[in-house]
Amino acid sequence: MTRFAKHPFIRFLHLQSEQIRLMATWGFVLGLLLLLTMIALAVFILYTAASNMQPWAIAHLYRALFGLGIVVFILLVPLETWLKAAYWLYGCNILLLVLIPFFGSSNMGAQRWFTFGSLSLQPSEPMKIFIILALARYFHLLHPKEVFSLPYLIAPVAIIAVPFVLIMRQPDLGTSLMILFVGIMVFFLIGVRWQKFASLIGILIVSAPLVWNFLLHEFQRQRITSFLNPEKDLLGAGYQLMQSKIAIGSGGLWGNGMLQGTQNLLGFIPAKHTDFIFSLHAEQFGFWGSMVILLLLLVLMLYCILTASVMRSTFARLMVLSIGSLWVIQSIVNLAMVMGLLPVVGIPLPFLSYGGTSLWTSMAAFGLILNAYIHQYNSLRNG
Amino acid sequence: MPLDHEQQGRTINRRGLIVLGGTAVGLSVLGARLFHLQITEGRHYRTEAKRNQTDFEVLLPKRGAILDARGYKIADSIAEYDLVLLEEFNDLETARLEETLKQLNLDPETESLFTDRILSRHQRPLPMLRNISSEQLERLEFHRPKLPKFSIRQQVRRQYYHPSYTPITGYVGRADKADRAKTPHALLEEFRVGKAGIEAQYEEALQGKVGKQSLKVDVHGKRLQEIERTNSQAGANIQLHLHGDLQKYAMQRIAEHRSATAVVLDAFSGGVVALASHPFYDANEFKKSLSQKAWKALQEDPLKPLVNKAISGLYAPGSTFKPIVALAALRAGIQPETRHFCGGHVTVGNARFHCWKKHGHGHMDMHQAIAQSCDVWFYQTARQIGIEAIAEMARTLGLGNKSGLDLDNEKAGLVPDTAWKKQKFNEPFYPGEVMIHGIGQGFLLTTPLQLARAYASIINGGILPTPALGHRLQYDKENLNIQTAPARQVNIPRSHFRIVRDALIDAVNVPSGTAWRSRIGEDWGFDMAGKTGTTQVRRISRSERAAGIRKEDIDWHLRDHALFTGFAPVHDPRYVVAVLVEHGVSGGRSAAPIARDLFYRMAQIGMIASSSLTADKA
Repeated sequence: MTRFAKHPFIRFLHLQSEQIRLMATWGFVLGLLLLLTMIALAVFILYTAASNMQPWAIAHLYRALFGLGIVVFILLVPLETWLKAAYWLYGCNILLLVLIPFFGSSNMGAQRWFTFGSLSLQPSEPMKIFIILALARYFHLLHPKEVFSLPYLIAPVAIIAVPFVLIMRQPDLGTSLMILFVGIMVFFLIGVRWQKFASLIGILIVSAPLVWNFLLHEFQRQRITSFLNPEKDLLGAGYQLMQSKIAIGSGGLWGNGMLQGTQNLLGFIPAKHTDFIFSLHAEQFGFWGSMVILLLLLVLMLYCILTASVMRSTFARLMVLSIGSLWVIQSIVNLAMVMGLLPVVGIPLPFLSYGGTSLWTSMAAFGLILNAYIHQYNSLRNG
Repeated sequence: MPLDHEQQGRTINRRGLIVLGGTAVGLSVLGARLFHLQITEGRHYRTEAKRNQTDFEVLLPKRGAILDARGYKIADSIAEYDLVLLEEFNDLETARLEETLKQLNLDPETESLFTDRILSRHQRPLPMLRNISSEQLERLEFHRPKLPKFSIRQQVRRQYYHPSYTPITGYVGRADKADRAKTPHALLEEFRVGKAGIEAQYEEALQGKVGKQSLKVDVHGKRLQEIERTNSQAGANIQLHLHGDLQKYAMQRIAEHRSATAVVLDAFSGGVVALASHPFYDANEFKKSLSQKAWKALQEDPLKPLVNKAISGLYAPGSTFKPIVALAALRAGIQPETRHFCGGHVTVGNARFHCWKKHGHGHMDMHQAIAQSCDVWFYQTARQIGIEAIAEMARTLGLGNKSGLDLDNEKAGLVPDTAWKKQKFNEPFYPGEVMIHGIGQGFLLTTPLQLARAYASIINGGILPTPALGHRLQYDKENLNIQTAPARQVNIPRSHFRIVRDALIDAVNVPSGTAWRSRIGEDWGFDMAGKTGTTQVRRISRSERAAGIRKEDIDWHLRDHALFTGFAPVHDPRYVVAVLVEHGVSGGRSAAPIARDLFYRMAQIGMIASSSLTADKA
């Protein structure tokens, strides 16, 4: 009993300062509401995608329920434990990525999945979270002054580079770019100076031809060229993009109405329940419906900023903000992609796209944010 | 140390705000893009979406049928069933190809054709078998589940019920450039336009109006539902003056000769009751794509099966022209009692003009000269009245001009006069030339139809009818009589016609007449009248004439053409028949019997009143 009473969750309910307790409680409740809203929205859009709960909406709902189990598990484990486990988790995930070429199942020329019966897992998804945890741990334990000296940045660069290259070789350009981005984001948040980013961009520009020639697969190069010249490839990726644009555009101001999207109903939207889920939403609910999604993203980011501001540890701050920016950048890239602003690189829309690993990763990340509320006054506290 | 961490915390929070700013910027860009796509360009994408899901199909109208005078169909559009291949075979199906083909039970030749087509990269759907028999259809339906990529497709095709109708109906074919200019949907694979005959002449009426159907389709082109439909409007049926049975009989009868033609004309309405030309192609053969070789053979055939000789064949009218010369003479004031002596020939200058009767007819008046076809009488008369009088009468009776029949490729023929001779040869008409024009030779060129038309005006009291095949168009709700150019009243006294008509009656019904052998027997209850004609294809030399060469001994292609133009029944004339047998030797021998047989048949089928007893006997 006493042991249970000492649990951080119970302590969270007995915070000394009324003001902080109120804020933390509301933050936690608001977060939970946000999470549930995202799930409900996803189930709803997937329902409209098939005009039926089958096959996607119902599966997504079950997965979300399982995901809530993951969230509860994450909440029960103290943040300190997550910090300690960060490298292990990261290491195990790297191992999985290494093993994929030997045991993974391949689909359309890409090896990204482990298949267990009907369940298939994509190890590159959780890597997005584990890389955040690993980097956050690294910088949490680093003296704030050491952040500004270059030698201390070699290790975190390696932490980013290893999964980046592994995932790029699967090949999965989208996810590997997300890994790279989230790594850079952590560097940015911790306060690495602007000049370093400027030189990094310089290096990237110089190395771009090397990446193009040696790291990218033929079909990835094709996607990029087809994005740059959509007329050239009207039946392949260019066709997908065209149909997606038609779906979004035909939504107009108010949309065609729920279950009235002809592009969706007649099968013109490619991968409509995964990467192109936004297209069918925009087709049905128009400009205003789309604005709701954009607004939700902004709220999500705002929530992460507010959360970070009440945190008392570098680890929690970095983690929360990195997760928030990961969602936002993933969403922006996905939306820009379906709107024809970026090449089609295969990045799902967090929470909304159909896909178990992606959903669980996003929910687990949310669990970590909520966890930070509960466990913010533990030994991790450093600022 | 806590101070450092506090500072670091502030840095992180500050940079978090920068990220928030970046997020806001990114989302604004997306918002702007959405505004552009959905609001600025919304209408465009809405049309695109609509176009995506809509498929248009042109609904082809049923082409109108062609009916004979009694309403029997001689051509119609009927549904045929084709086997088509809808999609590419996959690897597994290709591997099983042999087995699949076995189920179709094809002959070896078709089977190899099938294999080629299935493996070919031609665009799908690909036609495999045309016009499947009902037996085949049944078998295919039975195997249907095992043949998922095949489909039976209904196609409407033109059917001509007898090859005898081809000289009239013509045929339909795929649209060429000129047709496409007229009808835009002519581009469609299955669309057919009239290429010759009635099919071409009445294309507009027969064609009907196309309909349009817009369909909702999914991404695979699968049809989900009909959005809008404008039904096609079937083409009008056209009823002809043609009598189907008589036409068939005429084609069959003239086929006894190598090359011949016959026209039966209603002297009062101008309706063409039969129009036969032999040899002739079969329009049903033209439906299939005719091989280059077969087409070439048709084109190069010396008997010209592609030419309708009744309207496009130009021949010297020969003695059938004599009644017209007689009318010209009467108009010129020559009395019918005018006699000329026929001693077998007449000499003008140092040229000798022969009568067909070697030893001459003796003294002849106009009546006798027509009935017995005395050449000398007409030589003399022609010399008296001159070429202008003859030409004017010929033109009055419609020679030298297209008759206006509603069929393509009609020829105008040639009626020469002084002006023509002057223009063509820069020479005057010599008296000798005028004389041979008096017996229908020389430069004169007429079609059998023109002769029939001229004779029609002789028997109907001077009305030159416009020959017509089309009688009326039967639309959905109304019938529309086809208007032809109005018949022309010829300004010739009835007494003149009577003189000529009486002579034509005697030409057949008096033993001395040239067609006596082809008279219609007494027990039929009606008689025919008419004029034979025999036209030289080659000039007979003096030595041959002296040797008395038998005409049958000459090569076929050098023998004389045989003509007959006549009418029946004599006392209440209605129908005119013009017959021409190429190289038929003599009009009395080969052309007149055809005319007689046609009248027999007309009596049998009730077109000419006769005693039924004798009709049965025949």
